[in-house]
Amino acid sequence: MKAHILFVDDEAPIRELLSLYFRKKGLEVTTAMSAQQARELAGRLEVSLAILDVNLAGENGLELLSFFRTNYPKVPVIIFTGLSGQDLVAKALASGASGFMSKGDSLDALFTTVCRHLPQEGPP
Amino acid sequence: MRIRSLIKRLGSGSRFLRGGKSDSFAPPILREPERFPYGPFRWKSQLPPGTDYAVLASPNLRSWVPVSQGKAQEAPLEYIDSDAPKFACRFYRLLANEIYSANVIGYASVSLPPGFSMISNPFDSSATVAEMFKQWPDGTSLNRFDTRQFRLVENVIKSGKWLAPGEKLLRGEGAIFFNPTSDYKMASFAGEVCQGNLSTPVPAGFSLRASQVPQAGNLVEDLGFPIAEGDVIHLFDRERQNYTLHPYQDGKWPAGPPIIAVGEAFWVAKTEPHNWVQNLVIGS
Repeated sequence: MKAHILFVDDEAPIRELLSLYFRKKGLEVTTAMSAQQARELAGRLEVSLAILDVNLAGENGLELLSFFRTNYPKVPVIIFTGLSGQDLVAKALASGASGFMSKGDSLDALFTTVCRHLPQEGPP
Repeated sequence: MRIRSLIKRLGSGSRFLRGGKSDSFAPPILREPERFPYGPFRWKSQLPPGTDYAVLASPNLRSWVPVSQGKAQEAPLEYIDSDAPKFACRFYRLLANEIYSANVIGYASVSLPPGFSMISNPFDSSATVAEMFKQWPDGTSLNRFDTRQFRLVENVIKSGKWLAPGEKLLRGEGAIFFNPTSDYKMASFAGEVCQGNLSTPVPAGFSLRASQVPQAGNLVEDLGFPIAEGDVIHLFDRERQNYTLHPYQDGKWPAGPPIIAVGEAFWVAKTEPHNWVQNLVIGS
């Protein structure tokens, strides 16, 4: 069974390109444009890993991280942001994030990070 | 040397090159543009036998030089530009019996490195995706953005065939192309240059857009894009395989203005919907 990624980002360019790239690499990807949509999808899908943008419209990605930690504690969550700063990294990791990805990273680097955090199945 | 002597013979200020009017002669039409992969560009036209003509070419639709001249025969005129590989894009028109052709045609080549590229077709063309992208391997894909579903819709080559071979990449429409090989490749668009007032709707939020005019330059100053405070342009760096963002803040471009190549598409995050109107008139 393919690893299933839930990718939450309200910025279409990066969300669509990255999900396209991950699919070409053999992952199954479902995208969400908002925290609300992500919550609904998490309840319906068997998610292997979630990628959450920090600056979601209407709701902070770190708040969504708390939702995942409470309701889906076994699902690794990677925080994805264009922002930099050790404070944000520390806060995300303290809140239970498994990893951190920067929007400035190359597609290959992002894929490597995702594979590193995929539970059991490992890279596709 | 051939072009130089041609210019000298015709004379750049001659009536022949200026394109004066003649009442009894219909402007010729250039048709069947075809770019051979990595090779020449060909087109055809029909002129009354015995008509003097000159073929004019331009790399930018602004400066034109005569590249050939002759006298029309019974058979249709077929022009083959074997210098095409030397130019990333080139445009053509005819001057016959002192009248310019009714249309301008041309081609534009785009570089497609391994991975993703954001591309667009800047010409009017009836070519399908299968005709535009021939001899590509399995895994090649062309993805258009569906603004109603807010997602990319993929057309991909499987078992040597495009899943939707009849799909078309319309003039000014942007797409994300995926080159699955480890080789740098080229693709060429060919067709007619559309003139007049060309309008592209740009909705609020994200959309994938491209110029309807095959010209390169500053997106706002040269291509007339209607930028507004808070808008963000996303270009894709094909070499580094990631985006470069160009936010428009306080009436400036803090990261530098977005410069668009011919045949390049871009994402725009627009604060308010707007029409992008481009006016192209190719004069004499």
